[in-house]
Amino acid sequence: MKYLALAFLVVAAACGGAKETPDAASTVSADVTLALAISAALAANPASSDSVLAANGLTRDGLDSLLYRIAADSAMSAQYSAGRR
Amino acid sequence: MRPMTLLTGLLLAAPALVAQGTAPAGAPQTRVPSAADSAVMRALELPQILQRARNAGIPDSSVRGMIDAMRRRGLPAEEAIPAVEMEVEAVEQGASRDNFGSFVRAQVESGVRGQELAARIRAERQARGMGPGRGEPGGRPAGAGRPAGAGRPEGAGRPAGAGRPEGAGRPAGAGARPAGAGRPDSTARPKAPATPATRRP
Repeated sequence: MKYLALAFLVVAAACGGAKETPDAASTVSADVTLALAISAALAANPASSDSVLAANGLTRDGLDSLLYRIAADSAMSAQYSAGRR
Repeated sequence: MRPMTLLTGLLLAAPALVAQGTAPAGAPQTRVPSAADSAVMRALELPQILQRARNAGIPDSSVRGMIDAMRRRGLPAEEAIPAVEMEVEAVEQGASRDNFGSFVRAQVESGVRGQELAARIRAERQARGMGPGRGEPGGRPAGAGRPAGAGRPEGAGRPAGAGRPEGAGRPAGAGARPAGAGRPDSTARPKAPATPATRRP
């Protein structure tokens, strides 16, 4: 049992889990996470915007609203810009 | 001998097996992105361009004011981008931050959209002495913009009073051509019969 716990800690540290606290991860807004997911999916499949948007539960207008919302907030814009770099 | 034969067979067959295994996943995409796909890709740049505006020192209130105007009028993000980008570039090139967004607001409030908005942006860029925007003929390709945060830092301009000192210009009359120093008559352009005034002195 002791070895199992030790192994778990080693794996967690190797994956970077020990460095990133849950608070730091949760500060990234859900809107930013969604927009970045769409951006990454479109970068992989540039010709499938319709299906990417649908898979993320968005319409074209919904995406515009999301992007305007992010753009209006300086913190979210900074997170998004860092994520797109 | 038998293991050698097996090994040789495996080595010969390996490239074919690898190709067979990866072909469906690695096959080139046959679908070309449509105009709608490109518009979505372009729209995704909106927050970055507005972040660039903030990095250029434009107050957040001005940025938000412009966004509000565009949202109220229902301007699609990809249509907003060229206009916003022009305003940001102007500030980055030294235009007053106080005027940021005035052109975009005026156009958006008057209901200009689509091709007409694009044409007005092109005209405004020419009027301001700016080059063609991204995606325009002769302009940079889409996605080739300056990265966010790469603008000139605040206060990095030329210090006040660092210009040319007073009276350091060319002395009066130093650029004047001396009399008779023009082109010799033999090399002058032939005189047109109908327009004698075209000959240089």
